[in-house]
Amino acid sequence: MAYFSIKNLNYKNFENFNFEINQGDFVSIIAPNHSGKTMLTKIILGIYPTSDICILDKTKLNEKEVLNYIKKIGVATNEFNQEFLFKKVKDELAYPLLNLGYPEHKINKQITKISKYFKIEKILNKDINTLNSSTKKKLLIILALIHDPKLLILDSILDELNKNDLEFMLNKLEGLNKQKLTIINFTNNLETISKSNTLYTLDNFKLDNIKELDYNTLKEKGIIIPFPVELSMKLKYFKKLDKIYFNLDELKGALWK
Amino acid sequence: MEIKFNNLTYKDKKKTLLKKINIKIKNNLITGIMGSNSYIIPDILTSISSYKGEVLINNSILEYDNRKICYIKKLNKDTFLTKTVSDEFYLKKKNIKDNNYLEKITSSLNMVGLNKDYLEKEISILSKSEKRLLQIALNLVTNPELIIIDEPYLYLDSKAIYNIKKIILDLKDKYNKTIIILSLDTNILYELTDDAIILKNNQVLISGKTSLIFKDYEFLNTNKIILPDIIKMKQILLDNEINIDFKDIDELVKGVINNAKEDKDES
Repeated sequence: MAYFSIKNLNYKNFENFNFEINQGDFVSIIAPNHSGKTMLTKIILGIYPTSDICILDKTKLNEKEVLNYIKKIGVATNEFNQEFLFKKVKDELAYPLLNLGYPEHKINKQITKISKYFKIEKILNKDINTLNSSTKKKLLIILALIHDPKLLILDSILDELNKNDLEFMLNKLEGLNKQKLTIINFTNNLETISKSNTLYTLDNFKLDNIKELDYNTLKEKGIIIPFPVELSMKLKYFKKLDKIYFNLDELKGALWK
Repeated sequence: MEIKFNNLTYKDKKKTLLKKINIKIKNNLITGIMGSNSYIIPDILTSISSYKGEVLINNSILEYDNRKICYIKKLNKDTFLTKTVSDEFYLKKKNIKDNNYLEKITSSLNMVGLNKDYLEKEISILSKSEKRLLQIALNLVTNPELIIIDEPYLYLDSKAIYNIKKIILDLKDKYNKTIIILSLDTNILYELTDDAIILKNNQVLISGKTSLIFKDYEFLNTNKIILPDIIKMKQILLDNEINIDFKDIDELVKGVINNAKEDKDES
């Protein structure tokens, strides 16, 4: 049985839509504009009402089980109207746990654990408004993980991290993924998919599992192809490389051993 | 429009955010600014007045005029104030004395790759990419002399990025605008700007011609500035003593293939 599934979804533009992933998968869904990404995210989160269509870790998304279902999910979105509620980073991290009824000592323990893992101890007492935009996005991902969810949904948020933060967060997420955190990463930028074990494209409300990245198809869909990926795709076509590389240092190693 | 910052210092709640900044933004060029607190520079040009030092616009002391300078920030909840695209344009009209406003709106929309049909659309149904393009069109309709864009490619798909790149270059070359680009991405600075200013520890680390700044691998590596991909690739080739001269990715691919052939022939 799949760890997370959407079965026979028929909602607005989605027709007979099915999706299944296993526990510990790191799935990237490459989704251009107007592909249905936002609607799908809202369906998974129960913002658009469906019943018994989405199942996570044997818990169904329906009126009866919605609270248990939603506790298992962490979501970080790049929606620009998403506001932080508090001034201090530490207060922002504490608030979701307070809502879940955690006692104070457990809240502190959880904040210490996550801030150590993501190396944000130094900014815990900082005013969020003074952080740069990439750090704010990083913080949104950390917030989504504060309650130890089973499934993390990243809604195009990795696309907005600067290069250093992206590399750091992908490594950290890979670490959590190895500890069985299941991740769905919606993205428009191939730079964010390097740690994924499964790839899909979502286009016009239809999902396709892809085994190989096709340059022309991705360009046609408006997907951002970073320099190392474009270079390795082209060199692979000419049989100079046998796979796609996401950074130039690895690509260098493959070309000039 | 030429801008000079002479010995500019800006403090916020006793903390110095910019210290003794001396920079020149040249008329009719694209200048890229990156680094710590660089976002304060457009704020000073558009709203902050509590700085020490001097800001000169065309050799005169800075006076705020939102018709001459536009600042295209990242999208936020206050970017759009009305419901439809048309309402948003007419909200801007109070700044413009023009009988042919509809023509101007249409031309701004066309410039960013949108069309007149968008006027009746509700902003809430637009994709993030379309919202960003609309935001740019709204700023261009006032025909500003200086255009400041924060992260020009943010929220855009690759097709829209291609359009924006062309628009920025056209604004400089065809419409003689002065442009400032704020970005943390050195690829964007390298690709789009004539001059670059890099700030570090609230001061100017280096400023000058972009092509010259990004030639100095050692300086950039020492200061932990991420090299643009194309420059990093040149450094890799140099370190491996491989001689491939290239301007773009296709020339590089051709060079790598030919280089491999030469190696084979030699062996």
